[in-house]
This record gives sequence, structure tokens and C-alpha cells, in this order.
Amino acid sequence: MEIELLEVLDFLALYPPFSLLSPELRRDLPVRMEIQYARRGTEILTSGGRTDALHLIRGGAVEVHGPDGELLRRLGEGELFGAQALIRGGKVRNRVTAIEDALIYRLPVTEFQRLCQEDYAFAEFFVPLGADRLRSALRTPPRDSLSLFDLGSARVSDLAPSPGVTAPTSITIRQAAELLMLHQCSALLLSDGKIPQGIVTDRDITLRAVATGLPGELPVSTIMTPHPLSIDEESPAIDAMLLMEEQNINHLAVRRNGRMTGILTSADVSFKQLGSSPVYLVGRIHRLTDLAELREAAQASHRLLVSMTSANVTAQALGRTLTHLTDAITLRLIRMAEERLGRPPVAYAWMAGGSQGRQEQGAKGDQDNGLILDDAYTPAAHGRYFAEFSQFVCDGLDACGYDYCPGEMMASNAQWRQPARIWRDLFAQWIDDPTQQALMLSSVFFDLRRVHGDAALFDDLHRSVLKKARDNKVFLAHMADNALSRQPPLGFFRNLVLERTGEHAATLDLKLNGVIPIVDMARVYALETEVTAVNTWERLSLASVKGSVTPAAARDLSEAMEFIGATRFRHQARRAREGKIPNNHLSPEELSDFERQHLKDAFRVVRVMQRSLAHHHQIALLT
Amino acid sequence: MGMRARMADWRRRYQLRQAPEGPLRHFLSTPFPRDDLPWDAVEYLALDFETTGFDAARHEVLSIGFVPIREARVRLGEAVHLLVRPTRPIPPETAVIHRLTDDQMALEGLPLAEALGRLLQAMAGRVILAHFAPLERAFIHQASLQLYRVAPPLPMVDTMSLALHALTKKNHPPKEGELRLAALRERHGLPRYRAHNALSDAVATAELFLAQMAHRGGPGEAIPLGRIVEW
Repeated sequence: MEIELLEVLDFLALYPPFSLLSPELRRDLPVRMEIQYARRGTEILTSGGRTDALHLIRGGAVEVHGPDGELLRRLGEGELFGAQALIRGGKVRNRVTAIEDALIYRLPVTEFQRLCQEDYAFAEFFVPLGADRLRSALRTPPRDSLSLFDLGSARVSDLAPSPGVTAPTSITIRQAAELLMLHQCSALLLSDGKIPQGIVTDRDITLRAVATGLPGELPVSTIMTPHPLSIDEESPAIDAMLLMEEQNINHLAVRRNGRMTGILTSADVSFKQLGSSPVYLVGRIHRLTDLAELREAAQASHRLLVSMTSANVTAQALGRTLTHLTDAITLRLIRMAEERLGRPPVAYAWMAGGSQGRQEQGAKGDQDNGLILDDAYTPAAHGRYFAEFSQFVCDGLDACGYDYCPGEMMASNAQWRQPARIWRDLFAQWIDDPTQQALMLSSVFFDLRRVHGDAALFDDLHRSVLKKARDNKVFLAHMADNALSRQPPLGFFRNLVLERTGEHAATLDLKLNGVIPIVDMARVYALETEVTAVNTWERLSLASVKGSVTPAAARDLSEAMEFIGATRFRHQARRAREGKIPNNHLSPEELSDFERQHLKDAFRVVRVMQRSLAHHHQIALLT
Repeated sequence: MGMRARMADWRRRYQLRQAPEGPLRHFLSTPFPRDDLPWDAVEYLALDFETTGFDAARHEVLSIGFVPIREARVRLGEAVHLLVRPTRPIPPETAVIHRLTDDQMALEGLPLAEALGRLLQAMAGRVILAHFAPLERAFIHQASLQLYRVAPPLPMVDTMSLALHALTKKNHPPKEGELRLAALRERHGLPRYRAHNALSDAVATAELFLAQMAHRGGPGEAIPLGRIVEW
């Protein structure tokens, strides 16, 4: 074939999936194409009709309408239609009409099939729903990122692969020291029969035995740490690193299925390999004593956002790390408040809600928090202490850049600083009578996590709330309805966000129209099955085990959340780099074709799941 | 059939009786498309020549690009681009425009007879589509006279004439430059193409033709070929 249809070839090279093809495969394509022209108003594909080609818009624009006439998409230059019909054997479901005069390249079905067979990336591009395509997008790092390390995928088990050395608690201190030497390790798991009871480290032997002059013939149980701090081996590695840094310990017991099976040491945790800055930052925060220094340390969150996004850390790990930073600052402020005001008169638990509660913080947002007090609390005797305490912490957070919550959902507000029994009544009221206000509060107060204080206070309240919520179908239906109130856009059309109403918006709120709908759905799935986790990814995964959402759907939503989240963080990092205040408002022009295509897929996953949730709760969804 | 079409057909059969074996005979033995058929029921061959000038008697064809249109779709798979070896050196001023050089021609250029043969083969049974058709018609006739001593009748559609017709109908006499291929394409919202390659101009002409026909007449109105064809 003697041909130089370079115009066509150059065009194909610009748009996926043709841009994904090897140059050799692509070079052959122009001569296999046909060109068609459609005047504005012409129906190109008819619902119920047939087609024998993949259509690529060379110029102009078309609208895709579903069988019920609803607008599904608007497509412009470089976009495709007809692929799903080809996959179904040529039967057209959605009507496609030119809304502007359109010049269209047609790739005959035989060529389409040939390319699908010869090129995997090309075929994967057309997988229905786009969930698989989204998955492969997550595996393909965007071009501008360096894959130095991936904090998100590292688990505790990746850091300490070998099982710990276990010895009976009955051995002597000297024998323990010999075992440490023999196995060249720095700590032993000590077991009483079958179940490990504690650990002993070389440091324990030095400080607790040698330095105090204990005889080496004493049983090791006299110097061991019983029931040491431990972490599940499936937990993110970053959690282990931060926990060790927070607690200032060098050894952390590792659990598998609830049993201690190994020991993670600070040497296992190669800070350089896993990205040192967040860990050191948190460590530094715990040593600061002055509010001005703390404020300065908090400034680092933007730098962290920039460095972690450029290192291609997952959105999940990034949210977790930035939340660890907020937690560290919160904890430091709490300790400073206690130092200033004296020991608290009754037990309390400081809770974080919203994105801090879910461990999904990005660039700093507003603070959402509350205080549960022991039921021994009386306003007359203790009111003043906790008022001053909360005010100090909330003021401190605000000074560090976590702005006061505009809705006053903070511990400094007396309404959200209550004894446990009142909290229980409040939740009961919200659940039994889900008013608009209660639903508004739900995103904060159903995503609570204890940051500091009495674990039992928090756990008891949390458990009773979850049980009550699970049993109330009306409440759950309201929560589901609430989860459908924000819907992702249909996609993009010529650098504009294509909204359901057919109107175009200049920018896209990635949080409100992307992240929040998934967070809201995950909350419903979690509440339906009493899942205690509040992190969206954990909720999805646990809810799928308990059956309120299918594993496939949970995986699709997790990946949609990851993609939207990562896009959001990249946008925030870009702004931070430019010295602007990071926000959630993305202009579609910022998106690469890769991101644009996959954001569309993510939105589609969310819309499909919203429809399914609506159906499950028999809610009429306005589309 | 219109009178011109009938006369052209008569001439075709007359020339066929004396035509030697070969591409011309093949061309003449294939009937022209009936001009009472709807425009999109016949096949077209969008055609463009790059030449050393505008006078067919003095200038030479340097390259030929053509692509068929069937069922109102441009069939890129059947597109052809030919270089034609000129008998005289290419004048520098035209080489600048087409970027075709003597060296390239010596290597890849076909003798005129062979190029015309392939063109006649492709034109058989089709309507020839060109932007400013008189130029292509004149060069085909010139080459054919030179090689076969006849000028075969050629059914042609001229996108420039179609544009002129549309503009005149709107009471909008065209201004300088408005009838150029690129200008008309822009008017129809068609993409900008690199000019001065015979094949890309042929494709560009084909697309313009589809756009013009889509906008001619009301919806569902079947315009017969006879309304647009020239002989």
C-alpha cells in the first residue's frame, strides 16, 4: 500500500487506545479506516440497530443517550463510540447523535477484533464498565512520577519476613542472652506453653538486669515485657513505623491471626528505603514543647504531600500518613494542655471525625473532633477543666493550620464535649429520628476514631452505636439516600465538566463529587454490617467479607477511590508546588488524557454502585 | 438521463470501438454511473494532481493522489499516491511548493503512461471528484491525447462549483480566496490539513464533498447525481 496518510496517523497517535499501540501496529491503521461525515442532528447509531465499526470522532461532537432517552455522555474530538456495541456482537444499545457537524473515522469490526487480539492494552481499554481499565491504570504510574518506593503496598510482613525466635518464659536471663547471641537477634518472643506471652530485648537485659545487678539465674519473666504492643502483619508498614516512633520503642511484636509470631525491629524498618520524612517528622513532633515550633512542624504537611505524590505513594497511604501527622500534632497539643492544666479530673477520650477520623486527610482541612468524658463527669466540678482543655487543643490545631470547623463540630463546643451516656442518647436520637441535621452530622460522627485517651470509653460507645444503627432499617435507608445526594459528573467534554443537567462547570470538585460519594456509600455498607473500621478502604474490604457489598463491587469502588484520591492529591501537590493553597477544585485542563479517561471510568463505577445502592434501598434516584 | 450524460455515453461507446487493448479500453468499456441515481448511490474517486503549473499544454503532472468514496464513506484503504516522472527538470519554484525533487522522481517516479493507466483503471465506473475539476480534466485529457490520441469523456463533480452554487444560492458572492480548498474546509469546520500533497488534498476534497452534500437539501432529500455532475 503506497500511502502517506500522515494526517490520520498523527491524529491516532494523540488519543488512547490508539496512542497505546506500538508504532508498527498504528502505522497500518489509517489505510483500514473509513471517513464518514454527519451533519448536526443526524443519528449516527440507532438504539436497537446494528453497527460494524468503531467510531472515532475526528472533529465535531456527539451525544450518547441511553435507551430511556437519558443523556449518558457527550463526546468530542478524539473520543470513541460504538465499542460496546461491537463487543455485544454489533447490537447498538445507546443512540448516538451528532450535536455538531462531525467528521468520523470508522474502524471496521474485523480490524477492531484483530487489534484486540494483537494488543493487550488496546483490548483492555474496552473492558465494559472500565473497572478493569481503572485497575490497570493504577498499576501504570503516570508519566511524571518516579517510582522510588511504594509505601502503600508495603505491609508489616514485607519488613520482617522471618519468624521470631520463641523461648519458654521459664528460661533464665542468662539463657535468654545466650539465645540472642546464638540467633543473632535483638529480642525473643517468650511463650508460656503455646501462646507467646511477652518479649524480652537485649536492651531489657542491659537495663533491667545487668544495670540493676539482677542475677542471671532469675527467670527471664522477671524482666520481660508482658503483653507488649503489637501489630498485625497485614497492617501497612507505615503504621508500624509510626507506632514505634510515637512510642519510642525499637521492637514491636507482630501478630498473625491474633497471635504473636514475630518481632519487628527498628533495624528491619529501613527508613531510607521506605521514605524517612513522615516518620522523622512525627518523631520530631512528639518532642516539641512549644506551640510556635509545633506550628512550624505542621507546615511540613504540604512538603510531605508534594514529596509523597511525586514518589507515587498510593492515595490510601498518603491519606494515612498525613493523618498520622495531624494525629501527632493533636496528641502533642493534648499533652501540652495536660501539662498546663494538670491531670484530667476524670477519664476522657479525644475523638477525631471526618477525614481525620477516616485517616484520609489530604492537604489540611477543617478540624472535626469531640470529647467523650467518663460518666463520673459533672459540669460543676469538671466543666471548667475540659472547657479550657478543649479550647487549648482546638486553638492549637487552628494555629497549626487546621481551621476551626465552620459547623462548630469541635470539642471546644460544649455540645460535642459530653459524658458517654449523653453521647449515647445523642446517637440514639440521630438514629431513631434521622433529621436533615442528623444526616449532616453523620459524615463527622459516624466516622469517629479515638486519637487519645481511654479506649474503653470510646469502644463501648462505638459498639453500642453500631449495633443500634445496624438494627434500624429506616435510618440506614436515610443514610443510603444521603449517600446518593452527591453524584459524580458524567465525564468531561472539551475541557469542561459534563454535569447531569447538561450544563458545563468550569472546575470539578474532586472531593465533593468524587471522594465523598464513595465515602458515603462505604459508610452505609459498614453500618449495615456493624463494621467498626472507619477508613473507607477498610470499610469496603470488611463489608465485602460480611456481605453488604459484593467483593467485586468493593474492589471496584476501592480502586475508584484510589484513582480519584490520587488525582486529587496530585492536584493539591501541584498547587502546593506553585505556592498556591491546595484545594479540591480541579480544572479539566490539568488532566492528561490518561487521567481523564480513567477518571471517567472511576465516575462510572461510582454511578453504577449508586444505582445499585438506590435499588437495594428502593430509593428513586434522579438521573 | 440528462442530455449531456447521453452525449457523453455516446462518445464513450464511439471511442471504445477504436480503443486499443489496455487501460483506456477498460475505462471506456465500463458504463458511467446513471445520473438519475441518488448522489450517494454511486461511487466517486476523489482526485488531486500536483503539477509544475496550470497550463496542461506546457506543464507536467508530478504526483497523483486518489481515494474512492462508496456509500458516502471515504475508503482510505483504497487510497493511492503516485509520483510521475517528468520529462523536464522540475522548476525550482514548484519544487519548493510540493517538496518533490528530481532525485526523488528518478527513484520513485512512474512514467506518465503507467501512471495514467493506473488512474484510468481506478476511474472506471466512478464519478471523478476534484476541487477545481477543470485542471484535472485538462491534464487527463492532455495525457490521454498524447498517449492514445483521444480525450475520453469524464463525469466529474467539482467541489468548488458546489461551493459556488451554495454561496450564490445564499446570495453571497464569494470573495477572493473564499473558494480555496482550505478556506472551504474551515468554513465547514473540517480539520486543517497540510496542503500540497496530492493524496492528502484528495482526502481533504473527499471530506469537503461529504460535508457539502450533508448540508445540501433538506433532511431525507435524495439529490440525484445529475444535479451535481459535470461533463
